[in-house]
Amino acid sequence: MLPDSPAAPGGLNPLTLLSAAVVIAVTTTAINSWAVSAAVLLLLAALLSLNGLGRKVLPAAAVIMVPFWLSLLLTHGLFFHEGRTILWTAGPVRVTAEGLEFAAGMGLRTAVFVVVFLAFSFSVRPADLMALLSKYRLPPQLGFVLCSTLTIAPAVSGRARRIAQAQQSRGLVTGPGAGGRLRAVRQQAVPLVMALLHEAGSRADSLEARGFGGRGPRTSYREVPDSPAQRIFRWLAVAALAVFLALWFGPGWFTPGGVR
Amino acid sequence: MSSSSLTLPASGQAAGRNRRLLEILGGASIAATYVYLVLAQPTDITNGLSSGSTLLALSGFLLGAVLLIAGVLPTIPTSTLVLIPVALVLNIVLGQFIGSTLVPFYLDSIGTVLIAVLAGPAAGAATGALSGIVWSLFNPTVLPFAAGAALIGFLAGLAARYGLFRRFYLAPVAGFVTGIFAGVFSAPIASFVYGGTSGIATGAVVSAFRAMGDSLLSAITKQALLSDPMDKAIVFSVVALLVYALPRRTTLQFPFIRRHRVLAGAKTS
Amino acid sequence: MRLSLETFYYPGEDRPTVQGIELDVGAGECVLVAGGSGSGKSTLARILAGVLPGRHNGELTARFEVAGENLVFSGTGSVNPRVNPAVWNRNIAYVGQVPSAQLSTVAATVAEEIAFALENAGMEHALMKQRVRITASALGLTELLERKPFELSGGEQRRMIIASAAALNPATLVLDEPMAGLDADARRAVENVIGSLLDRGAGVVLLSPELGGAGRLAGQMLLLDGGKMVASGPRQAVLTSAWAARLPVIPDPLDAPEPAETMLQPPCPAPHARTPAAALGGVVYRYGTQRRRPFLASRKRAKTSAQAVLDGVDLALGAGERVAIAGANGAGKTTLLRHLNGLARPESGTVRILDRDIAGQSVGAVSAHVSYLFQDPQDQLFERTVAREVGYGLPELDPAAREAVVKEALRRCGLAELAGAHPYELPASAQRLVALATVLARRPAVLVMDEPTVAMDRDGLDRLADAISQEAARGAAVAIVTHDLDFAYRHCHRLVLLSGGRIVADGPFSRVLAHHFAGGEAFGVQAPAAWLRRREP
Repeated sequence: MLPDSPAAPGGLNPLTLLSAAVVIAVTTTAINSWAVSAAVLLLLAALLSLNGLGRKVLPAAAVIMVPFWLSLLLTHGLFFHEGRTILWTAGPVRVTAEGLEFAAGMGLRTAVFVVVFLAFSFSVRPADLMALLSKYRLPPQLGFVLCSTLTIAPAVSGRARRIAQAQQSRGLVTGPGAGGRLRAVRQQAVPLVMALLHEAGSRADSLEARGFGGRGPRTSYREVPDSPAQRIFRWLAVAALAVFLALWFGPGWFTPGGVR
Repeated sequence: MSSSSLTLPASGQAAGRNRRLLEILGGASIAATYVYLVLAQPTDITNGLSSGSTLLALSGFLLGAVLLIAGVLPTIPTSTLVLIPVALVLNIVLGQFIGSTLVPFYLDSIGTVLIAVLAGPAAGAATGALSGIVWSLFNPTVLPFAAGAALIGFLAGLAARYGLFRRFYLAPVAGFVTGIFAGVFSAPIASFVYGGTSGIATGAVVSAFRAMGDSLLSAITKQALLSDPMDKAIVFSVVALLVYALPRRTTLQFPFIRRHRVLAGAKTS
Repeated sequence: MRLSLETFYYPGEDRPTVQGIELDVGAGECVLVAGGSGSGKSTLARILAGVLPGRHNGELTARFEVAGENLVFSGTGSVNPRVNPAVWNRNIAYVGQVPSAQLSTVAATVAEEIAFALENAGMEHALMKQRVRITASALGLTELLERKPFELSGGEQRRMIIASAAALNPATLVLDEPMAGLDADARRAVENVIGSLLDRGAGVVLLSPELGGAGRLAGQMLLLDGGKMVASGPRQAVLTSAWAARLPVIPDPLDAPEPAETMLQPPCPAPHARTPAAALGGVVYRYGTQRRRPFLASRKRAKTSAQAVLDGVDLALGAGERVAIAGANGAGKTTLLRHLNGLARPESGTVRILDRDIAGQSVGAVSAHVSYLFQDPQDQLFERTVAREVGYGLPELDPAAREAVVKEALRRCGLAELAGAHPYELPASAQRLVALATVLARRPAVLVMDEPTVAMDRDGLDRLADAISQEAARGAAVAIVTHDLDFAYRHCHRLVLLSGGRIVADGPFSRVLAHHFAGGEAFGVQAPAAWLRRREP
């Protein structure tokens, strides 16, 4: 999600995208089978590639998922002492079929979760979310935090860079050892935090002087695309999800280690 | 629109009560989810983890975090609200900067703890929860940990409230204790939702405990207890270093600091 | 709107920050509140905005008369009224100093930023669209409406924020230093905006250290010093008392009662010897070419920035020279300066300091000979006290010698009494002087300054001017990038004009002016008013 990310494909409302994302993520998690997760993942990848979003979403997902998968392989692939079907052993290491299946199940299920929500955030504009909050009379502060974080992030890293350069220009050198590093942290972080606090103070004045945080209802200049069809789709999606969960888990779903 | 008065009436109570209710519901939702997870932990994971537990963990923690945010945010003054985005960016920027010099920790809560010290436990909790939610837009795997981040912000605010930032050597101690809570709290999330940890280094530690015959949850808990308290001790120290390096006029402009004499030598009012 | 203010104290302080102020603003009237840095202008602005005391817990004793209502603040106690900002801003709107810190950060376009106050007031959608359109066209912002707020220039951002405050049609607008840091074009545009506001019947309170520029729109004027109102009345009448009281306000070069000394002073003489201290040879620079990972960066960058920022620049700075570098925004001035201490590295060409090529030397190493004064002093300062700040990283190892150097630098900048203060707690002008002191203490061979006059009051400007001439007399090469040619004309002897990344003029100040500024303006730079007046008779 970037301030200048493209409009949602085909004039879709963020809520429509969100409900679709939730339905996909929740059903795959509930079904919890590596085969189903893999199939959903492939389908999503194909869909996103057709859409043009794939080039952004898939690498971002890979950056998150590769270390996660390696970690799972390390933990469950090598040391799954509950496993019975032993494929290979060496000292304490025991590679079991159950361990690998467990790692694959968890890894793929999480991958679906990550891809689906990254796709959501890459196709939504933060300003649209802010407008939706106003529309449904939800606290605009939530939208402010979201939009503001994304807007100021590049400015903050730019400022951090300027501070580092200004200090180099004064001959700042990082001392050796942990003490020297900690001093360098203080020397660079203090101006950064100071500047940010100061700027935040001015921003608070400016927001307050323009009536932000008042008690009356808030309206929105921005129009978020929506249609009756999308509204129906959202309700149907949520209802279908509820029905599916009820059927899938049935009455005994909370038994520990119970139904998968 | 046509209200003529330029001034506000004395603050109303009804709205305040509703908000308090949201906060309590949010806290209860998080606590109940946690208790359920600890009680319902599977004895044998060869059957896989119950996906019902996973969904319950996800929705319980998320609902709790959202309720907390909805309860706290509207009560936060604008001057504190504008600090939250700054804190979220600092979590990322300072986390990266320090993380590049001191390796094996996350250090992703510096901004949250800073706000907690400047503006109190409620603002700290909201910042933590929002940090989880906003960060999850870039990395969805952190979403379930939003409740844990809220806990860290809340505890840091309490530490500041009761004077643990008045002595420099107490800050890391408070951080260490916060880290124990945070570790114990987040371990079930890691194990039920993800069946492990997301980093390779932490994964190696978990594997080592697993190799010694621990169950998954206890292995992850032990790993968390190894890194979290140390991590939070460093974060609290860095924040103490920062707030004492800031000019007095800047820190004293925060009512929370004035009222509870958070920093050594600060005037009471 | 009428305000009579007795005192205002910040929490925990025992001296009032502002006191004894009477302000009366009618429809279509502009009142200038002038004063130096730290005179209490910004505090007064925020009181008018209804932001102070608010949640900041200060103690205000004052009487407001706004929209037919009387509001009385009586110091401490909970009986004081709490301003409702959502209604207040329909009567008195406020625009603070730094434009980028005023952005709502939630608006994706300029139109949304302008609509921000309307959204918060809950205005109906169709009405809001219309109001944004009307406000934008009245203030000349129509062509910016679909742009992104963060990508605008400083001047455009300022105009947008003023429009955002004006969208609710408030009776009075409070503008805190609306001209700070803007170049000639942007200043004119903001002046036009203020003019249109007055035409629409709004009252404007302008707070500024400058008596000229937009200050000329003011009928009434009020002088602040040390938080007190020292004079008020019609502008022309008060101007003379500003000089009588020797307030650190900046004079209007076009005004009648001008201080004789600045007008009659001859332009700077050139130094006699000219051994080169710094030299750029054929420097070409493009954004992105210096990236560490050119393989990853090049493909994307090549398309967007084929245009060179510096396009074959040759420039030699001799020891003892005082050189002003001017040009429109985006001409490459700051980039040129950054080459002199290695912050920017040329794509091709050489940079020599004291006759040695600095390619391969770190910025830290170059800093032994070149000192750089940045535009924003806060980026440069990081110590707990002014004295430690100035003493940081000095080559002298002997503590006594070090202390002497620090003391001397502080004295020259008028900071001797502030040695123990926290640099960030000082007013803007003093912060700039601290940064200047850190530079002077190092006794560099080359001294480069980026817009050193911005945010300085008159006292600061005098100290800066002294520092420039003393450093040059000592044998340092001094180069300043500035859009304040009036200052440069008095204190530099050589003028370099940049346009589109090339040097288009370089030579003795008066000769460059005579060649290029017959029309009063060239390459987006305005000729010094003092020179124009000298030419006229």
